[in-house]
Amino acid sequence: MIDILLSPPIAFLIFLGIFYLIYWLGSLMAPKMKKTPGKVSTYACGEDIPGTKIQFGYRLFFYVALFFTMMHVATLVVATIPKGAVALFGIFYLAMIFISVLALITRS
Amino acid sequence: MQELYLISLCALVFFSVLAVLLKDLLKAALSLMAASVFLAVVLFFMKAYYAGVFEISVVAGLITVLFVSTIGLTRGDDFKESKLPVYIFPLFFIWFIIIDILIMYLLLSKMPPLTKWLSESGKFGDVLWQKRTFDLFAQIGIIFAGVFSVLALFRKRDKND
Amino acid sequence: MINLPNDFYLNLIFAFILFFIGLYCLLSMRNLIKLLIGIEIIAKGVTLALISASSVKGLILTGQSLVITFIVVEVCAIAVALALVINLYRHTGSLDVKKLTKLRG
Repeated sequence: MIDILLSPPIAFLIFLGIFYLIYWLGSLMAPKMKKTPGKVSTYACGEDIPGTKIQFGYRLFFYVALFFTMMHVATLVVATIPKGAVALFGIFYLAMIFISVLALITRS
Repeated sequence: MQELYLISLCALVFFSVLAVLLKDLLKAALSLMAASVFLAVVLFFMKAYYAGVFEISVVAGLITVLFVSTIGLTRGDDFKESKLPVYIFPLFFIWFIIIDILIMYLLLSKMPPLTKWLSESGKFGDVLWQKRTFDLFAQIGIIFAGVFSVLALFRKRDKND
Repeated sequence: MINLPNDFYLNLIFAFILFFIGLYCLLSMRNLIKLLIGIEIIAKGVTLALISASSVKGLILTGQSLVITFIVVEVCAIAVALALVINLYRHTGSLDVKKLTKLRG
């Protein structure tokens, strides 16, 4: 009996029920919610804040995305390297990727 | 097995059509991701495992991230796209499919069937790193070109600009 | 009679259909991001044609190495094109292709 109760799906369902019970008790104690457009929006929800949109920096994100792309592709290519003398060429490939990453870091 | 293969091919075409016809750009990018996943399933059926892994990891992952971030950065004045291409698309599409199947049927009756004439041995790494070494030089060059062009495009502005 | 994953003509039919969808998107849409989605669909058709041809010929490993190089080229091209799209949006304030022909001083 205790083995069935402690198996992962049954335990997950039990704790899901406990979580929803706590959630329901909390909703009983909380004050009533008034719907304002600022409260149901996706980001920065909670209050209506007067102001303008923030123009966040977009340059840095593209550098990070390009860096991630290069490392991803290099890892997937080098993962298929065979045994033997060709491994030296793999080291050369990684060195070239390192040079391009270095250019990306220092020039930004 | 073969029914599953046909279903995945049809799903690939269906999600590509959705990616073209949907008005919302975010849903279009996500349906493009679904089309990539089904293309990877087709490649796994043809025993091309490494190409399938690359497809599902790079094309369905990285390109979707780039598309979604660009759509988030360019949220602004959405102009009105004309609805005429969306309405007129099925006409052209059905016409093209009929022409395509007819031409392929004629080819199938004229040409001799393709047969296997070579068989490879060894692993994938041997072929990529010993017979196709120059392709890796080309990959390094392409990555260099991409990095330096993005660096040139996102240059810092001068003070008088 | 028919062996589906190795049937070259069926795969070629679907590759041509994908190519047509991408070409229709390139010819009829006005949004810049939609044009890049059309280029992606054309690239999917090319990948399918390459792998099916190499699978029929029995040269599946060489075809896979070609496809990997092609995917790297595609990723770099899309990254550069999206950087261009962001800069054009900063400059003109719209994603419309027809706005690009107007001169702005």
